[in-house]
Amino acid sequence: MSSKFDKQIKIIREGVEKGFSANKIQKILKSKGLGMRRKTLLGWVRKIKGVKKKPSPSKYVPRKYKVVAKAKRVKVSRVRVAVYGIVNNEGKRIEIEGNPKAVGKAVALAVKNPPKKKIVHAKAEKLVQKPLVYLNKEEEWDTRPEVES
Amino acid sequence: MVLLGYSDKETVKIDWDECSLDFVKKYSLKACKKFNLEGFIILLSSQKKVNADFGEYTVKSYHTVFNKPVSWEKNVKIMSWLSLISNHYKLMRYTLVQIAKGSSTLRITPKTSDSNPKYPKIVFVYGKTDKCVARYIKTREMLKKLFESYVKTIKNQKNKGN
Repeated sequence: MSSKFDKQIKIIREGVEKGFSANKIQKILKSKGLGMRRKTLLGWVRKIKGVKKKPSPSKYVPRKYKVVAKAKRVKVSRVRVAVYGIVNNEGKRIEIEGNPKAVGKAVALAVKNPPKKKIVHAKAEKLVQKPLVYLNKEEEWDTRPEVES
Repeated sequence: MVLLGYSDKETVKIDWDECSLDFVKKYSLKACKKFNLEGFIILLSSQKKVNADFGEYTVKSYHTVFNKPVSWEKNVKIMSWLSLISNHYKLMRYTLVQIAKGSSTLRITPKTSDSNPKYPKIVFVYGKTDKCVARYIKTREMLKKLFESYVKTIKNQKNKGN
């Protein structure tokens, strides 16, 4: 008497020989009370066919299931961004908070000129209106940062 | 060259410097279950090659972002708990720096403006990702665009100077 596993393999082998898809083989197995997890089934189909696993499987995941695609649907009302680097061998940082649109504009300004003090907390709307209050127009960020996040 | 980071008080963010993905997964999962943080993502932050007596090997650094928003007090508690149970010196240092600052930050843009910049890349997803993780990813996309335009202007300036 053959075990459940042997029966499953026999059905998978027959299915592959007939050129059935993995989906169809899974349905046949289920109808005979020999259900199998899809991941295991695909592994066996590949083994019988002699096909190797593709190198980056995440490429074939539909976009709607990806984390990045899901996140784009979420509405963000307020964000807080830190702009930091080195100015004349001294670490400086500015933290900007506000709605995403204003933060985008404020970051574009802060990226060009460093803040006046070592650590500055600013609201994005105020920084866009009065950049000279927070930023030093005469200085520039150094080319190579050596700061920790 | 300037760095852009995602900074706030309510998202639990952990910076795992120089450790393996299995190590990061193990402790992230522990924290997620203990503090009921709903889910998390792990990002590959950077990797560097190190020369040792027995040969060259790669050291990788990771970031973890948890999904559930928490108060700053609880955030500090989780960061401290993780640094104690993992016994990871660099994580302890990271936690202390964040506590001193009053908010936690994770780098989003690459460390250098090479021709092939390396942004932190998502390598592992667990559980729900609809709250803090979604907000983090959306901000990340926004900052990526800003940083690319900034790098372009720097390159244009250099070309004009030459």
